[in-house]
Amino acid sequence: MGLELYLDLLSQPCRSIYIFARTNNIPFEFKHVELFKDSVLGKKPAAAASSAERPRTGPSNSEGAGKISLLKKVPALKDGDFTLAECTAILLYLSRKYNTPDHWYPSDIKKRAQVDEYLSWHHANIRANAPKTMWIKVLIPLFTGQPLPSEKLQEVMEGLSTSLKQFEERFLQDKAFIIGSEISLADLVAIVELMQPVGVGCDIFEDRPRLMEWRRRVEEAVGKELFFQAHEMILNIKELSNIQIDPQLKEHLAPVLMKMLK
Amino acid sequence: MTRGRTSPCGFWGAAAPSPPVRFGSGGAERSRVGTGRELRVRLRAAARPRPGVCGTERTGRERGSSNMGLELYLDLLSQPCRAVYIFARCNNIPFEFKRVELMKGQHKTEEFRKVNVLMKVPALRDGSFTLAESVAILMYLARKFKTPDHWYPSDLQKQARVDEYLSWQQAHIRGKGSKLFLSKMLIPLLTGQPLPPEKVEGATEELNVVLNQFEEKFLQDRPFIVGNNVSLADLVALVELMQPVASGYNLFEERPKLAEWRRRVEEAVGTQLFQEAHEEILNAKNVTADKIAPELREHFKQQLLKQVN
Repeated sequence: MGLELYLDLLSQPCRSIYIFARTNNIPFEFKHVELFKDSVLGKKPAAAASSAERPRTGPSNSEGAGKISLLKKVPALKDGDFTLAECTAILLYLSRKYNTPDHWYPSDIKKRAQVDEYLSWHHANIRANAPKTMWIKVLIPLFTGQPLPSEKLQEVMEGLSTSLKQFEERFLQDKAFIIGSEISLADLVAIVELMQPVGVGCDIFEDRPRLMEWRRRVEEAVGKELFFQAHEMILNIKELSNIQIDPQLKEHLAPVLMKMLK
Repeated sequence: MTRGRTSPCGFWGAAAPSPPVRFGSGGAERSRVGTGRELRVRLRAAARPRPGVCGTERTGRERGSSNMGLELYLDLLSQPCRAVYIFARCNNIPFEFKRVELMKGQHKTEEFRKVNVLMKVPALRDGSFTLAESVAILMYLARKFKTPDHWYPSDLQKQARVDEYLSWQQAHIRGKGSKLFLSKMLIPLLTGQPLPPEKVEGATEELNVVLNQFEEKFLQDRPFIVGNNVSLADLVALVELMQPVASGYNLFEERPKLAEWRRRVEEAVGTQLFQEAHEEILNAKNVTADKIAPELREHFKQQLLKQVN
């Protein structure tokens, strides 16, 4: 039994792992977990969410996903008997095990530190606000039946704006990529997160030419076709709005979702 | 100035990127990082015997006055600062302790901004190289100074387990531990009154959920999070758990397995060093609002209230 990656491409961390594995030709079995179909839209309701952005998969149609990770989240990795959660941990594990090219996680300790620094900062900054755009514009209206007041989105966009300013000032600066002339895990993790607001119609690249240039470089570095394939779902997220949801499920989930937004 | 929600950071939660604060006419409160603490630390270090796994002490030369040496910008009220401090001291890494007093707003000064434009502690300066984020700093130190393998094992799977914990903990142990500390202690200090009991109860409950996860998933029946020896995961975990403890929530009381693990981690780094690093935060109850620079009080209050709501 080879490497298995449990992923839902609607999820940003899942996309970074998917792109990384594919662009480096790492052989793996794609175990598709559909967060919304299996646990949220499916017959089995999701376990109460305790972490900020991601719903737990709970018992899911693909049994493997529920069993392999005690934390019950995607992304998850299974390599023989070894199971692993957390996007950063999975990316680092793959880069080491499969000896991917040095630039992804450089052996130079200062450059490596720059990647670590970004990966750490990313969690509480870009990732604090970017995912909320999807919740506010698509998911919560889907489940509660009504849109949220515009101040909610504005607040989130302001927070994201602040983070983007810091991103440009501290991490990207005048370089081609975060660590310099080559792409690394830092750029990959950043870009997938920023595609979330793009997918729901909040194009944060629109009036940020330097970021837009960086995005183009990242897409080319991983391969444009792969990049767009990975982002197909999120870029067509509006289709999700047309799904009919069981009213009882709606009632059950609405307060949970509102809480998650905070 | 637009100001959105930013990250929890150490003692305070977010240091929002507002324009740097200047202390003008105050004279004494000149916006410089302090050095007074260094002397005390030096004297204590010289006097202390060296137990535990961290090896023998090098004396004297470790805190040289050379400007080209390693500088660590820290406030020990902050959890990630304590992790960096304990790790460096425990491994006899020579560094200059640059105190950045959060309560005096020293992290918002122009001078500190040159070290870390993100205006947060901990921060590292090694010659012209600057670095923020405690996990990045810990790993940089581990690699540069070739600390013993168990801190960040070279074994692929063990290393992955440390990475997994360090990632998970941000939103969980760190997130909920900070939230309880803010709710129980810091916000009441700033506002002059306690938060509604339901808020504190809610924060306590959330912390207990993640503590259960910590015990069930990360610690299980092992002596340490990864294998048989202390690693960065244990160090980061324990300093974070001391924050709610400092606010008066003795989470170790009803969790004997955790209490045992705590004892082991303290011994592994050196009990005296651990206690010294936690002296300030454990005395935080005695801090009164007037110790906080008045122009900051309102700002901190707004920031922190957002985080617990």
